[in-house]
Amino acid sequence: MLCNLLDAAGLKPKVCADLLGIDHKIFHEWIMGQRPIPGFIVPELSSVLGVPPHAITSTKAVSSGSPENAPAVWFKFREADKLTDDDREVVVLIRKLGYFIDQLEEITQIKRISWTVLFETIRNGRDKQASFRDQGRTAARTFRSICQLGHAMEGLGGVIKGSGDQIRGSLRSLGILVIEGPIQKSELEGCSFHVGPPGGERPCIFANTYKETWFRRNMVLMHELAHAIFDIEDEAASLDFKGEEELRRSEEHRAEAFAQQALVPKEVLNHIAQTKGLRWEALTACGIAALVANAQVEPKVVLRAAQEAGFITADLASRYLQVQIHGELKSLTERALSTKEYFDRKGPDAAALWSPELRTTTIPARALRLPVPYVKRVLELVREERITDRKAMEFLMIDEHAFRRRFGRMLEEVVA
Amino acid sequence: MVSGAEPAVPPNPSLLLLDSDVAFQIFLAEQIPILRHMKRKYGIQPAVVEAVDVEVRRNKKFRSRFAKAYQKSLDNGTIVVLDTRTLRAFVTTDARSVYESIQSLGLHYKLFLDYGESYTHAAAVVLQVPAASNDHKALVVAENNGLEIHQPVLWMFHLVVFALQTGLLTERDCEAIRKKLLEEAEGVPRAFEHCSFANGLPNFYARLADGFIPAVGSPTTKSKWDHRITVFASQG
Repeated sequence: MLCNLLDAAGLKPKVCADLLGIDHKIFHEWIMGQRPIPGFIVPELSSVLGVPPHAITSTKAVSSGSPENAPAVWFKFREADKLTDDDREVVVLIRKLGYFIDQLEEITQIKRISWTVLFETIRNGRDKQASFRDQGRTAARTFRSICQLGHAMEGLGGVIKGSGDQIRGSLRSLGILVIEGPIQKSELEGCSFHVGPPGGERPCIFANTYKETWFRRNMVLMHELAHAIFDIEDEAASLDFKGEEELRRSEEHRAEAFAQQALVPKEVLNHIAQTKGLRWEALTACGIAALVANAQVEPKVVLRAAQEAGFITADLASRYLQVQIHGELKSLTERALSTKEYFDRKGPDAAALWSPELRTTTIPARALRLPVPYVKRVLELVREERITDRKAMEFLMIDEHAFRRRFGRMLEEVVA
Repeated sequence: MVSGAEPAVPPNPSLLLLDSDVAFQIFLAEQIPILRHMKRKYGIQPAVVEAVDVEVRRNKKFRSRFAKAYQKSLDNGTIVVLDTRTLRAFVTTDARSVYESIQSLGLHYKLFLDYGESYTHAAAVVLQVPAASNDHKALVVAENNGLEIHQPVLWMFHLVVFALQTGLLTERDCEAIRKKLLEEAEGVPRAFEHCSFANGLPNFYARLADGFIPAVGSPTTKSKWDHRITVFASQG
């Protein structure tokens, strides 16, 4: 029964109803078996909860509340001590988004599943006897090669005109769901898990943007990608919390090595240093900022990579890490700016189109920031008259008022 | 029963499926009597599919203003929610398999239309009954994606004009409805957007009409979506 499923997953019915945009009373009647669960909602519930449709409509009770009966992904989210209700709610919404992305692919008939090839190639090529760090590094080289990023001598977080940055662009074109958004009351830094209906799953990687820099987030995303490749097949989900620097588990070493190698391999560092005329033994604040701005990862990762590559000593790395580069960094890359500073600099047009507020859901009780390409694709389908405005509102999880206010003029202009 | 001397008339549809936007406008304009009129005088049961029921209940604007009136109209049977339990009153074949057909068609439609629109139109196709939905764009989208739509699709104003034709409403009532909807920033058909109901009526084609009463509105169709369903009063 739905009631048992929610209980086992540790999801509160009221919260679930709010997130799915369903009246509490009706939802209560569904879960208590007092009213049949309508067919229309079953695929969505199945996808969000990660169970087959018949498990939703089944009237057979399973032992209530026991975690071993929870769908695998929810078992993980239920059991993690540090996870808050806010975190679980965001996961519900992300899984709902995963369901919508599946629909979007069905409409456009473009199914992105290249991630399966990438993941299989990396897993099959893994030397199980090698150290976890080496496994991570090797996997990162394969990742850069398959995604044709091997020649990218600038950081992968750098923006390519028209296609976003290379990390997110590459991951999304592989079919991986990349979500970044703030969860204020949370220690979660990033996580990875599967979304989509049973049998049609895709990996999702999430980075909590709350009080995190762009440079840190790039690392978090690649770290979660490593978990998605190696770990979530067996563990259903992987969670990383802020401040867990000691990397207790061996899988964390592998993920960290993967992220670093994927973002700042030796040749990238070398290229940046040469093109910027940097001398490793005498880096100034400007020089360190140039490394960070071009590699698009936080200073400590750049410096650690430089140290591992043999460009600097451990002493120099720790000395450079103390250098304040914030001002220099802001002058070198827009990514160092706060959202407000960014839109102030870019002008009202940029703010009007893709400011986070325009991509934030309004219908569910908790807000989720949707990826720019997803919002763009939904609006394109409205313009092409492939979906109705109301379907677009459903995809964007916003009400009519918000839809008209945010996109009304933009859509009218196209029609005119 | 129709006697041999009387002309045979086709049966009225058993149901009128309301989409959430029409349901909202009916409650906003306080026009539940139109639904009662259709049920009592024409034997046409106003209904909503489950998805619309869920949609209207979660809509903040609707919920805050009409939750009680909506529940009352469900309780007294003016509107029914079409589910596995209620459907059997309106079909002659196995209700479960009809329900499954609606779900299966709705599942495909909902790639392109929202939940309410999808299952309303899917039910209209399966049951061969009219749907009432103001969303003209849904018809274009359906056409672009090769989805079958049961014609005609009625707008709120087709119900209003029908009520005028059949004597339930006066022109003054209809004008008050027009004004009320415009005041609430609700959409009204182009014919009534910038002129009074009386002035707009000659440019509005009635998609629903009583076959025994002289028609009102434009004598000719105004768009390719204009098809007329003719119904006949079952009493008085």
